[in-house]
Amino acid sequence: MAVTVMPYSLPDAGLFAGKGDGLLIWQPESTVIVLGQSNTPEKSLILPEVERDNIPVTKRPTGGEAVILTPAMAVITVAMKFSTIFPSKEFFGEINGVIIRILSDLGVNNLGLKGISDITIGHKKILGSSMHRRENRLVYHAVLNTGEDPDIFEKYLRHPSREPEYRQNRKHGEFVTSLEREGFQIEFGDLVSKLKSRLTED
Amino acid sequence: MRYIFKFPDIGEGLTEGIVIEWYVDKGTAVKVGQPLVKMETDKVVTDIPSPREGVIAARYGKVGETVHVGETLVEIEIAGEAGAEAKAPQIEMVEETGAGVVGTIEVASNNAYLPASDEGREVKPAVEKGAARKVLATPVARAMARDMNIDINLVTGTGPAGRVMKIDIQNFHAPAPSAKAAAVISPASPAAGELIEIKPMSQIRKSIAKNMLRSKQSTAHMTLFEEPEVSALIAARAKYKEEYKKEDINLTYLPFVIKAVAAALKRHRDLNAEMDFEKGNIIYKNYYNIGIAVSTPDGLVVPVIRNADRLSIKELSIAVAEIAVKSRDRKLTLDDMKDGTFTITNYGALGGWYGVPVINYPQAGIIGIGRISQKPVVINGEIKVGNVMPLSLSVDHRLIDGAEATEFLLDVAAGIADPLTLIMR
Repeated sequence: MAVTVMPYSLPDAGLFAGKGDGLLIWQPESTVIVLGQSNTPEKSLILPEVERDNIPVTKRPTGGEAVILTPAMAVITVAMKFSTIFPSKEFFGEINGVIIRILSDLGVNNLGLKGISDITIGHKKILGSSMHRRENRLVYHAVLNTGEDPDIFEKYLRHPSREPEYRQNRKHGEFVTSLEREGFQIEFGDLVSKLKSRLTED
Repeated sequence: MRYIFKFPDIGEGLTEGIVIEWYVDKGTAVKVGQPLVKMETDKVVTDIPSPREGVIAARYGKVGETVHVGETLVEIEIAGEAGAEAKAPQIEMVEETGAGVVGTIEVASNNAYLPASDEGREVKPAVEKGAARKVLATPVARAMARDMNIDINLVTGTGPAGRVMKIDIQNFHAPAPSAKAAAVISPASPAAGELIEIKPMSQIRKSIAKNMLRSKQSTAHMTLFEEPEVSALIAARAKYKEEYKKEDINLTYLPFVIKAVAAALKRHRDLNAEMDFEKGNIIYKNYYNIGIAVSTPDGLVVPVIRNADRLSIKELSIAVAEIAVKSRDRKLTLDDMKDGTFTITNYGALGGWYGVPVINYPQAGIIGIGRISQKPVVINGEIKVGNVMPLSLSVDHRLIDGAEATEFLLDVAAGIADPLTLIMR
């Protein structure tokens, strides 16, 4: 049985398809695998495991590598129009900087920006982000691992074909961590309210 | 007029992207800002807009292919100018800054961000003779040449307009260097093709290079030297070496040095600190994690012995042995190498004497240990044969003053010279 890549219909699909500004912070209701734009199930996934556990697979409009979304994660999607051309990394730095400040306010420490668009605790990744730009509008998409066991990545995802330098060929389980695993318990409601207020204000 | 538009850096600092979808074909009329192609880089999917109004004369890169920043994406025939398709010699001359270009051809800058309407530059008609030639090639051929370490400029293209194709790379055999060139390098130079060897840098080499450069560029290095007479240390080691051996522990001089350094760091906190210049803070650390620089076949690594101040000579010996085994077996992890507060480099074990060690940034200092050797020393007014251990201390002079560095080094030297003090103090 081959894995079928479903059309992208997650809660933030409207932001990708829309034309205006928008912000959505949400928690997936169930586990789903989301491929990056140029990923294929064969190259990115451990298919027997995905098939056996019947994990749905979809493909987002943004770049980057495949991710798994579970109810123990928070997804942040920001759509905005822009009038001037600026480097993508600059935007990643801006918005991820805001997220770092919020997480710091909530008591998380040892946070850093690594790679092109990752947020880390020490040398481990807790948030990955990607972007879709079309004409004068962009959609930023980030996944924050609040409490998922990183071993789940090991189970379903192959080692990515591209990796940031700081990953240093580490396996998913050694490269990714969660806020909970690092000893930080954060209420989703607190995160949402702070993100909403700060992102709309910044 | 033909405008050569190259794949711009979209601002991630990356060198390549994958073609996801073309919005235009040859012959499509485009306006400024109209999306030409959807490209994916590591983290971004983006439309690349047209920088000019005109008609697409050619496009390069199929869906799924990798295009490198600076390679041609499309050629746009600017409206109002003659010529449906650039002729072969013209295209060649566009890319090579070659001589004799007739007419006006614009080329987008190699390192541009997303194109603005005024992007592009005119190729000057007159160019210095012998300027480096950059050939036309397909993206696949260029990538393949890069992967195979082939200088694409040496490859004869068989594609349209002399374009280098994939097959040309596959069939390419590197020409032997001329006899003249070989003779200049060395009369006894190796066979053709062996004069140089190009290897991609390993990840660890890249990290070393980056860290060394960052240290040298970010700190004010200052180095001091000292030569403690260590006969008492030699005696102490000799006394306990056999006893340790019964427990399968190899007692070397290094654990004594670690102990002396950790003890001295407690008395000189500036050496166990780091400077946060941007925030205007000095971060003092109340833990003493000593990094030990280890040479491995892959390059330099610095595993860390944590809380070294709390460990006995025996425990330090075990920790040093564990590091050695892990290094040899390539089993060191990032966790083994993080959070060091000060570093020791023991080039004496390799026979080295003095050095000017490079600080393991953002730490404040590093001490180098040379090989113990016999030298004349003056003891109680008499010249005797002494055993000296050369020490070289590099510190960040932004944080550590000369007086503090000197006191620290003498403190370490005193501990090494009289190991009993390491236990008694």
